This record gives sequence, structure tokens and C-alpha cells, in this order.
Amino acid sequence: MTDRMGDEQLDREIRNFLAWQAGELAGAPTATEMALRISSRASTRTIGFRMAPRLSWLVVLVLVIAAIVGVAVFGALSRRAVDLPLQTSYEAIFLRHAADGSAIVVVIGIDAAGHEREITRWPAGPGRVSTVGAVSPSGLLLVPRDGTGALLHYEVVDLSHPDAAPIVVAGIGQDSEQIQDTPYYDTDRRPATFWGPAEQVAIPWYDRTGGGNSWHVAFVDGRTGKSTSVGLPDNMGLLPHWTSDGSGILLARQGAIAEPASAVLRQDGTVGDLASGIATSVYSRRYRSDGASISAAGGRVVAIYPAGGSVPLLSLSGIEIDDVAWAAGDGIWLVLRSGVDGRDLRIERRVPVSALQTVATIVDGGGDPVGSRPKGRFVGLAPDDSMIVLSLDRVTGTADNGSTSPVGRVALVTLGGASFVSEGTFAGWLEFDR
Amino acid sequence: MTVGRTAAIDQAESDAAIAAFVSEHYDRLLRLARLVCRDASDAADAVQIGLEQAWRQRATLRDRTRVRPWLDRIVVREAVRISKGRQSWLSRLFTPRAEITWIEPPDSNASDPSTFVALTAAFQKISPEHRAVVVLHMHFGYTVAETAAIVGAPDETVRSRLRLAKQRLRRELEESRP
Repeated sequence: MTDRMGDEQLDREIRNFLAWQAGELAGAPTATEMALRISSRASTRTIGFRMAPRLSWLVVLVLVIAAIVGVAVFGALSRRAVDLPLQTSYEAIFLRHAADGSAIVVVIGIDAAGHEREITRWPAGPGRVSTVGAVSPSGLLLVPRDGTGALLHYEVVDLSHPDAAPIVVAGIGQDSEQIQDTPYYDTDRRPATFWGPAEQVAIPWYDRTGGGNSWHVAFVDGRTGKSTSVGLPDNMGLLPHWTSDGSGILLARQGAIAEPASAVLRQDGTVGDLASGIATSVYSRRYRSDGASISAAGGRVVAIYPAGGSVPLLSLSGIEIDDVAWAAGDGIWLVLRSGVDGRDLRIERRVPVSALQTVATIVDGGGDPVGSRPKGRFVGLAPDDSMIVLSLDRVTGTADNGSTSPVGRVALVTLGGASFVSEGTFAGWLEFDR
Repeated sequence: MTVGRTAAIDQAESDAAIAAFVSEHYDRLLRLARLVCRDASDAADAVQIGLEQAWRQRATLRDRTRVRPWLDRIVVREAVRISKGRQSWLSRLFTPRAEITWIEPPDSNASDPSTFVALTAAFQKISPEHRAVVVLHMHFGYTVAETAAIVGAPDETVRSRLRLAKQRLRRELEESRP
């Protein structure tokens, strides 16, 4: 038998709830801003005064002349091009092999309307170019090339001048065997390398030539190719995030990427505390600019703060979460299982304080292995949240006890709800004004 | 020159008076509108419209001690109007059903977060008129008669709305608990 809640208890619960919700005012203007708004509107008042008849006619005449002149000026101006303010937009950049099966790599840009354009082709040269690359918002594309020897090297191409000779990044003694046509960094088809502030790029690599397996990170100036490699501290894993001042990249204790970033690997190789905040990542957004991380477990989404403590953000009952990420404006992105037997994926976005928005639903069309279902993970999020890129792998078993089969498919989903399954590897977002 | 200076001084005095007026009432009105509208942007709109209206009509208020319920009445009616507009049949048709609920309790010790989740969902399901009487009576402490005067309804209607709203909230809360 269920205990019926007493009136007093119900009133107390409602009052507690109202007190809490009354404080949920993020996004509302301040009292000063509100006063300014009201002042500006209240000051538009009607002023009446008497005027002599002759003066009235004079004023009418002046107004008529002003109107005629105004129409003439407007007509003249409207014939000229009007400089509208520019708006920043983004294209998702993918790298694919050419359809003819050759080793040529094609660089594709897809905009929020799903329009696809070929930006450039990378001709086959000495060695082989990989489809694993990373592009900066300004259009510098970094790709590894399998060199003539056992080692690879990286090249930077400016997509706005694709015919210019690439800049070669030297000083990285990484085995070529790691560069295949599938990503080697993770199964989520995210580039291993990642761009940061001021067109700097970080390249993690390890050197087997000495018989060991020591990890390094090369900090590279994307415009010149000048690089400095430093060692990665023992028992620390690197995170694909730069500090907002460009001084280094984030580190976490190995196996603890769900926790707030605990340290920064600076460009001089020293390790320090995170002091400057975190630059917005165009790939995974597990970390917010203030260092708080977002994670999901057991149907609950929580924010974990660097200073300690966590805040529950979302509570789900009976819904499995495939992945979470911070959205622009302190909201969250979610990939949820939905549909019959949880076989479909639903992409949700929520920004405080507004309604939950179902951005897209990806319906399972079946696939190998038999009995598997799609698993979605955020690979890239456009800085303005206009588009996201998901990896679509297939998973068998339960969330806690299952196995994932990388299938190499990625979906581009726009905030407007359109989705396009794309071939190739996601390389980043290209910024342009329109 | 003198006329210009006088106008400027008048404008500055008017701005200062508006700032003082807004500053005195804004926080309370925003909380009130937020609870009725369920959305901070809509709440800010309701408060702006209400304060503008109140400022222009301030000369009509004879009893200066009644300014607070007078303002609350203007803003809560505006909040109900905006909230009802958001809940037209067309918007309901195209608004996805909220199967999950956002919670950010300020103090995890204050109440079980699952209660906030259930009440948030339940509060969304009752009408703006019902929310208004619950908020005015249970959060702002107005009596039934005062609430009735603010929302412009008979006392019995307010009592009925309170009873129905609490029944609905109770049912949703009890169903959410294992």
C-alpha cells in the first residue's frame, strides 16, 4: 500500500520547489538593463506646442522638401551595394579517398544546409597522405604523410591557397605503421591532432625507434611548421583541449578523463595547474571553459567542478545515454537511445532556461553484427552549435557489458534537424563569413 | 540653451526615477513572472511590459501603499497572457513532449532532486492561471481574497484552482515515487 502524502508535506515540497525555481533566472536582464530598456521607451513621448499659422505652413513646406530630398537620397543609396554586417558560419570538413580508388585524398566541406563542395585534392606524391587530419577554423589543414622511410611526417596546407607548397613539420620520429586509413587515436573517428589558439596545433606521438614506448607532444606553429616536442609525464593522459591562453594542453590522470582536468602540460615541458581556463574545443566538449567536466552514469548527468563537488544536471528514468557534451551557452547535448528496444538514437539539446529540444532522431536501419544497435558519440561540435558530427558505430550487449564495432560512419546533424550520413573522416570546422 | 538644459535635466531625473522604481520591484516581479511563465526570457518580457505599463499609469494609483499588489496584478496577468500564447494548440502540436527534465537544485540538501524533477514536470502540465494562483498564494503569501483580486477572479474560483492544482501536483509527485 502506498503511503498517501500528507497535506503539510505536499505544501512543504511545493514551497521548496517554488523557492528553487524562482531563482532560475539565468539569461534574464539585470535590473539596470531593464531600467535602461524602460527609460528608452518611456522617453518617446509626445510633445505638443502651439504654433502660429504662418509658421505652421513654413514647417509643412520644410517637411515636404525634406521628404523629397530623403526619397531621392534613399533611391540613390539603394542602388549601391549595402554593406550588411557579416555573420560567421561554419563548414564541416571531411577527408575522403577519391571515388576512383586512387590514393588521392579529397577535402570536402559541408555547410549547415547539407551542401557539399570539394575544396581541394591532395595529389599522390612520395609516400601516402592519410585521411586522418585536423583543420583549424582559419583553414590550415594538418595531415600526416607516410614518408619514404619508416617514419612519417606532418604537412600543413592552407585551404585558401591549396596550390601552394605544403609546410613540412619536422622533428617527429613516429612510425609510419600508425598511419592507416582508419583513425588510430580513438574509435570515435576524431583526429589525433588538435588545433588551439593562435593557429597552434598539438601533435601527440610516440617513438618506438629507441625500443621504448615513450609519449611526446609536439607543439607546432601552424603557419611556420616550427615545432617543439616535450615528453608526456608518466601516469598522465592528454586531453584534446588547449588552455584558453594557448600556453599548453590539458592532462588528466590516466583513466580519469571523466574528472576535471587536473594539470596543464606547458610548451616548455613543465606541468602546472590550470589557471587560464579552457579554449573551446571543436571536437569533444566534455570540458567547459571553467574546467568543469560533464559526465553521465546510471541515468544521471552531472557537472563535476575542478574545486571539488558535483551538481546534478539531469535525471533520466529508463533512458540510456550514449554520450553527453557541453553545448554553447552552458547547455548540454545528449545522445539518447530511443525507439523500439532503444535501437534508435535521439539527439537532444538543452540550454538553460528553455525547453528541451529534440534536434534529430536517427532511426536504426539495421546492420552487422546481427542484434547490434547504433551507438552515437559526439565527434565534433561547431562553435555556434549549428552542426554536430556523430560517429555511428554498432554495439552489442548492454551499456555496461557490451562490445563496440567501429563501422566508420559519421553523421552530420544540423540544429535545424537535418542529418546527413557522410563518408570519410571528420577533420574540423572551417570558419567563413557570409 | 536653457530649454535644452532643462530638457536634459528632466530626462536625467526621469531616468533616475525609473531606475529607482525598477530597482525596488524588479527582483520580486521577475521571480513571480518566472514561476508563471516557466521561462526566464518570457518572464523578462512580461516584467518589461508590466513595468512600462505601470510607469505610464502610475498617476492612476491613488493609494501608494498598494503599489506592490498593483504591480503584481499587472505583471501576473501579462505573464499569464504570454504563457497562454506559448501554449496555443499550434505550439503544443509542434513542441516535443518533455520526457526528461532539467534540474539544477541550488542546494542538494534542501530536497530530493527527484522531487524537483517530478514537480517541474507536473508544474508544466497545469495551466498558467492555475500556476498563478499557486505561486501568489503559496510562494508570495497572498490570501485567497488578495489572490482573487490580483488575478481578477472570484474567491471561489481561486479556491477551486488551488485545489485542482494541488491535486494534480500530488498525483504527479506520488506517481514519480517508487
